[in-house]
Amino acid sequence: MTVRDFEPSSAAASPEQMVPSQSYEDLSPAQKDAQSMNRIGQLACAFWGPGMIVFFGIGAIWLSGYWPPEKLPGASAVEVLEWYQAHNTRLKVGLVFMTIAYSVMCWYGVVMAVQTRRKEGAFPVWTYVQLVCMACGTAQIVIMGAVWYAAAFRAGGCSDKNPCDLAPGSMEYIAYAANVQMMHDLGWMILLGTWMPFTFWNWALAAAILLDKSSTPVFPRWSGYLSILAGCSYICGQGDLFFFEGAFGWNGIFALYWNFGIFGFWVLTFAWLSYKNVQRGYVHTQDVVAK
Amino acid sequence: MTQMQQDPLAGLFGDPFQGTARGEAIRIATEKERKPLKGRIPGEAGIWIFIIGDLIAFSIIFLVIVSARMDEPEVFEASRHSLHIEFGALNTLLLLVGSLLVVRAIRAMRTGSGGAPLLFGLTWLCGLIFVVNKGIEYSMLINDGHSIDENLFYGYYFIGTALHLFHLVIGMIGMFVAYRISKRAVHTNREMQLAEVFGAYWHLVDLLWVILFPLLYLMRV
Repeated sequence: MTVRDFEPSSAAASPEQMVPSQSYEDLSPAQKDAQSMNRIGQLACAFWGPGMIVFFGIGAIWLSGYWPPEKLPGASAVEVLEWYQAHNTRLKVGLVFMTIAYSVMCWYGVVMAVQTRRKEGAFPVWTYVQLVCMACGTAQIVIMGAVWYAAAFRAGGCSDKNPCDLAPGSMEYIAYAANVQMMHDLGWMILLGTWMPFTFWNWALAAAILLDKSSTPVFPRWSGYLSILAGCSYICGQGDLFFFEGAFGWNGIFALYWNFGIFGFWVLTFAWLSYKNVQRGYVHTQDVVAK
Repeated sequence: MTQMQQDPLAGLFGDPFQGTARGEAIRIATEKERKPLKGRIPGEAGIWIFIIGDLIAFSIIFLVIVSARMDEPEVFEASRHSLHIEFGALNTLLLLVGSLLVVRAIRAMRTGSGGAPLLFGLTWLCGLIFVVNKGIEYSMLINDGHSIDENLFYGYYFIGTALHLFHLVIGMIGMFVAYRISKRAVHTNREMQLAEVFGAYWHLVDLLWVILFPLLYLMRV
């Protein structure tokens, strides 16, 4: 049965029970002690929102030079290979930082799901969709990191059976460069072209916010619309499948800058809102509970 | 409860007290609470964050198209002539009519003068004809041998119009929800707000097309 906020008497007779959210200041010292572990956990998770951006900045912008991309979609295989070889070690270290940034996204995603969970009953659909899509998105971009690891490894590695002194222009050299370019392309395709888990994650969060009719919303309603906008924006990444140049290529203003800009803004906004919620004491409260 | 079991959407937007004495009390209460038309944000503040964000994104697309046109004027001019302008013109007319119908529908809901479901339904129909029209236009262009990776003009044409079409389909879902709401005799503030949100969104879809159409179909070098 749906619990309607203007009819608490019918809610009491339903299988689900409405309990008011309790402010942190109203809790007894014993209750505050009981919540401390979860409270620290949620704050740590919310912290990884901006933390993720810092790690990404170190890895992708400062060390590796993937963002913005120095080699454009239309670059030749040999140019891509030479870029990987030019600063191979620095690029590899940068990739490690980038992959850490992508991995901590699951910490960050969990805190929002936990916060919106308190408005759902025994079957928290929107929470589950958020978690599943966020986990898929995290796995996807971590794999992207591994694909670029392979490109960097192959470009910088030599062994008896894989000599580095192939004659430039020879068929072996071009085939070697084409392999590296393929992995380079694959990384961009995974990062920008497969936007769906990210979009559905954002939309599930938006649904959890906008369908909440109670008088004590978890997040403000405007943040739900922001989440829809962010989810829609990632669709522009699909352009990297079709364009070697222009605004929708992977170095373009849409596929790259708009996407990352709005994702970063979305991350910081919800990290801040989640932090404020935890500070206000919304840690253990469960507004709709199944009996 | 019986009504909610029959109608799956009623759980989201329904009013279980419709037609009862309590329903009448809610209607009177909400009419008293309803804010005046002037000096307030139509719909709710959040939808305007979405609309402004979307307008910024599309403004960048428009600037990118103009900039690319300046770089390759011959390609853009030749490609523009290969488009079927009559389809674009019909779609412009459909969206402008749709916007007028939405305005009339929201007003009918506010005043309770009736006819809102018909007006929302006609708007939805305008959207449907737009989708069919666009589908025919796409298939004609593809049959003529054009594709998204032919040149930058066609790249921006297909991406820009496809993104707009995606917006329109969402708008049609919104019109359907507004139609369902407007069929009810009693509208709560939240329902009225939701209808206004979808109305504002439909105007956004219209506005984007009104700029996209001349940029792609009409603008000469």
